[in-house]
Amino acid sequence: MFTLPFFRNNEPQDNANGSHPIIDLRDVQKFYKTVIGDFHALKSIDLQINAGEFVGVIGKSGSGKSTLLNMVTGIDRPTSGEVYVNGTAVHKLNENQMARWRGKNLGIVFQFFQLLPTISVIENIMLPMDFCRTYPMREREKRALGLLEMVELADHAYKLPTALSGGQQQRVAIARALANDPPIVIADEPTGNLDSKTAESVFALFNDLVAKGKTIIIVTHDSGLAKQTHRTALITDGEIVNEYVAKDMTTLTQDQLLQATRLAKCQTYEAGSMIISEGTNADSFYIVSKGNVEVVLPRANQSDVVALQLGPGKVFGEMAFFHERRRWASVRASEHNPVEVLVLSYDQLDELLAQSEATREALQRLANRNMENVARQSPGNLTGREGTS
Amino acid sequence: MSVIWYKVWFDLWHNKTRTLLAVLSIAAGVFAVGAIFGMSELLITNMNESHRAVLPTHIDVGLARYVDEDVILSIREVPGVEDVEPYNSVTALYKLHPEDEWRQAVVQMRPDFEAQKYELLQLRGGHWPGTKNDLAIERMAAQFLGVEIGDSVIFKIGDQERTLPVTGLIRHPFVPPPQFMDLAFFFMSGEGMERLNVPEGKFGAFYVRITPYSYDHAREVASAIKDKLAKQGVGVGSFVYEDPEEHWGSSMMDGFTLVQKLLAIICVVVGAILIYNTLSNLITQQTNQIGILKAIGARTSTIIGIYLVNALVYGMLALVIALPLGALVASTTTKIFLNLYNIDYVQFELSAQAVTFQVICALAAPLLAGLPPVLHGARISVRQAIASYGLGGDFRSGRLDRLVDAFGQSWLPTLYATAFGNMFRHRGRLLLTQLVLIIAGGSFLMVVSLNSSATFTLDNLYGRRHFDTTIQFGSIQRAARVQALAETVPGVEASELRLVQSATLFVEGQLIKEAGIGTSLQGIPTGSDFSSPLIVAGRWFLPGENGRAVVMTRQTAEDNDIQVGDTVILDLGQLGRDEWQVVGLYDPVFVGGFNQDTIFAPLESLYQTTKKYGQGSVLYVRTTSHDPEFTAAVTKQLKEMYDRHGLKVAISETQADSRKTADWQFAIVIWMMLSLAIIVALVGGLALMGALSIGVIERTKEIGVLRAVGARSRAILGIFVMEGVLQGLLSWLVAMPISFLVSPLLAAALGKAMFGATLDYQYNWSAVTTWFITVVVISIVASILPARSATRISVRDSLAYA
Repeated sequence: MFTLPFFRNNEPQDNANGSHPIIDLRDVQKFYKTVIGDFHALKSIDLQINAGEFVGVIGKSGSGKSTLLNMVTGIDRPTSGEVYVNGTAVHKLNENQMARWRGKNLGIVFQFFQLLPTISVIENIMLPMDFCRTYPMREREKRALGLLEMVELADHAYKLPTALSGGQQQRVAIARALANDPPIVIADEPTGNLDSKTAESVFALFNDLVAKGKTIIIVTHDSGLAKQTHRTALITDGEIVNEYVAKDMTTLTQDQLLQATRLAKCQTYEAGSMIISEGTNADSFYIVSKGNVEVVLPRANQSDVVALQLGPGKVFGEMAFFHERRRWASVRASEHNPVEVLVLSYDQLDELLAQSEATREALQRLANRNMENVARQSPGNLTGREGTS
Repeated sequence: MSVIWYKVWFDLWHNKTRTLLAVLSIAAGVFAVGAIFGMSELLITNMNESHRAVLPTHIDVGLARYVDEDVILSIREVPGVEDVEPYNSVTALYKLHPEDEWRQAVVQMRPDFEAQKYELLQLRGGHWPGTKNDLAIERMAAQFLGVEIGDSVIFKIGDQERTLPVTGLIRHPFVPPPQFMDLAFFFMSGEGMERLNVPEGKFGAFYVRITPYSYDHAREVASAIKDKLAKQGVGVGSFVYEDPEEHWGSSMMDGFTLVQKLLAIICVVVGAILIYNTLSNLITQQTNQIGILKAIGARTSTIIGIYLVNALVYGMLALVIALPLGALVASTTTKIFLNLYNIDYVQFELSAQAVTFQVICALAAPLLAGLPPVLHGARISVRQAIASYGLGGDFRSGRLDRLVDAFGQSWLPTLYATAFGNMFRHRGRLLLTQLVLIIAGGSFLMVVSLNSSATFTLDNLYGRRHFDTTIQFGSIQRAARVQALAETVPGVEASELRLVQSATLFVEGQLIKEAGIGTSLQGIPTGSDFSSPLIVAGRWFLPGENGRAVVMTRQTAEDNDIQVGDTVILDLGQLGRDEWQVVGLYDPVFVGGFNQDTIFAPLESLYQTTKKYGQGSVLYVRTTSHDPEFTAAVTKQLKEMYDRHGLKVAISETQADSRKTADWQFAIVIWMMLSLAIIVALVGGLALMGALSIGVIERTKEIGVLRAVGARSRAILGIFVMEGVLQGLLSWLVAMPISFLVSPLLAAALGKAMFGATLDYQYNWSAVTTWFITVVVISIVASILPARSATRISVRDSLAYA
């Protein structure tokens, strides 16, 4: 639907092959001074986003979403920690350096459009080009018109923003964000002020941009829209909930998810190493966060068969939790790469499930399903399964 | 050109009210600078140029009797004398119509009007007086009296009247304005002057120019001239010195314009404060936009540039308005004042100095004033600029805030308490607005108090005078006869004839004051109750005192380090010189210019010194009623009576007329200062309007919430109008004590600088009420517009983000 002739071809980069993430927040803390004392807005945030990803940041009002975004855009500075964006230590730039850097490297789309009301639509789009001088003067208007055509608003180029509808203004804001062809676009509740149909069209535009290699971070309260992103970062009380915990235990509340994130310990296993062994006593529940694990079932002739491979976001150890607390299969790290898992003890899991009957039921259903599968896959049956979610 | 400048243009053009207010506020100050500084420069320059053009005399010598022209021409032999020119000047009585009262005139003649050397008279119409019946009139007097060439003037010559046609119109460079003194100047030939008892071929005065000129050399030459004449048996009545480069009125105008200049600068400062408010307003309104600009790549310097260009444009527009207006007013007022000094001012002139000052004020003032809010706004972080969390908790919780809050809650209805609290939200802005209003109020109260002080001073001065009219005779008369005749006139309660003698003052051998226009020795009866000068040191004369005691002005004593008890020498010319002891100093109130610097002595002592026992030349008369019309009628009767008895009256003046002249002199100055104070007050109103407008913008969401919870337009209006009125009242409360403390100092300084007077200070308490009403009206008017715009904010608009 949209032609995007003006952008460099930024192919998505896979962090797993060793390249740096395009956005890297390391142990970022943010305190605000208030009349009643310090407010801890962001607590030890670690977040890495790769080039070409479409990431949604969701959370309740006051959870710290916009503060997190402000760290990335440089609109605000961390109290401690580091923020690297496209290779630049943003937390070290002064205001003027920040302004210039931001104009060239980031496009920002605000919830309330934030177009300058006193200049025309096309002039709003030309402004960032004027500030950063990324294009020769004689090309700016042409480029601005091209961007407007991209968002299907070329006919309104010379009108004032107030003459446009909310959706149209937001599309102009997106065009403005792309004026200097930045690799990263940050959008803070871009559809917050739009009706659902317009919101969908704006989101579609974002998807097109991602397809062309842009990295987009979008803050939204709409979990339905957030699902359209590659990844979702849930932020609660200034902390990011582990995405795999959030993905896996969807019936937990945000506070419970945060509790789970805090309780879960991250463990790494070397490639090929055993994580749990069949027949041993079970005391932990596992969520795969990086790499792959193999579920191994014993066979009568003593050679094991890999019944299943589980990747990030998959769980294992749930069957033993509900049935006899004994391992029904062995699970090991993939032979090719080390694996990272989040580990919750059964006591911790019990504590969580006690707060959420729905999660208990869901997990129990999963455990029962898997048990049935294992039962079907008797030692003589090579199609056994252990743990699916 | 970057598209951001379209935004600047839009901001200027689409908020015309704000632009107009800002431009007018600067224009007011720039106009004042142009008008006052321009007038000052043009006035002084033209006065001095005109003065130099008439080849002013260095010394104007008045003789004790008429002498032959040869005697005067022999003065050329005195070392240092460049040349001399004899002339005659006598007093006369005239009227324009038979039924009119006689009025006083001075009649002058030159030996050859067409070959004048000094103090050049200029023919402006008709022809020079040549024959016996030729009569020329001074052009200012002609204008004042409505006399033209061909009209007739009736002169009193002895017991007869003589009607002469006006045949010429002459400009004289050294005549008092007819508005100040009812003394018309006429010109006749030598033949014509004979009718006025001036012997033909003889002269009673002459002009002298010396070379080289210096102040001291002029006095040395004058002494030599006096000595030379004394050897020929000719006494000198007076010496009047003139600076050849500087017009005699220029120092007075300098003092006069000094205060005006100060007020003009205050106008500029006040206008600049308004620019500060306006730009604060603009930046407050556009904080969000600043954040966005920074978010999309604008640097701080770009933001600064955008808003300073705004300020520059305000200044340039103000200059466009104020420059021509200031020049026009400067030229017009220059013309008015030059006309008062009988100086022609025909073509429009522009003062380069004033234009330079105007350009500097118009451009620098808004830039400098705009810098703090622009820098503050430009430095705001993106987060602060675009964050919008509810209604803002910008009312701090300091002690003052709590005090304000407590006061409001305890003493004021909720609405007023809100307005009261709102006033203190932005203390910086409150301070600036208050500063402007306080300056306005203080200026008004001080100017009005200055006026009151002037009036009080005159009341006191005239209150110390217990006489109603004075009559000066053309020659010495016998007191017994004059006073006896005076008492025959109905309405005369008492009279006193005093002897007045020109005197030269020496202190320790040094000539201090030359006898002339400014110095005279007046004998006063020691028991007299006709006048009591304000003694500031020492004492007045004791009853019966007849020793050589004098009381002189404090100014003369201070200038020459004379203390009470010191001995001075008074040289009375042919009557000799004697030592006199200073027993007291008095304050005459007005010094310099045309004011007499009289040295008083006991009449008896002066009789003894001059041997003119029982004689005098100036009659002081107290009438039974002090009504101006009554005293004028009695004065007329006295003059007619003396005329019938052959006693020639030179000049008379009722105290009412004298008072009127004094009032008029003050009035011009006071009105000019009041005009400037009014300009400052108006700009103060604009400042208040600007501050309240900022408040409306800042509290847009708050207003929306108020509306959402039930506040009607009246309530919203009331909050802002009340805030405006409270600001006005606060400024009034502060301005009052400040003006009370500063006014005495100002009155003293201004009195000296502008009028050469020591003013008796009086604070004008009724002006406090007047200013109270004025500031309340200004506050209400200033707050109406922003209050109305606040009522027009809808809930939807105000709560919408951005």
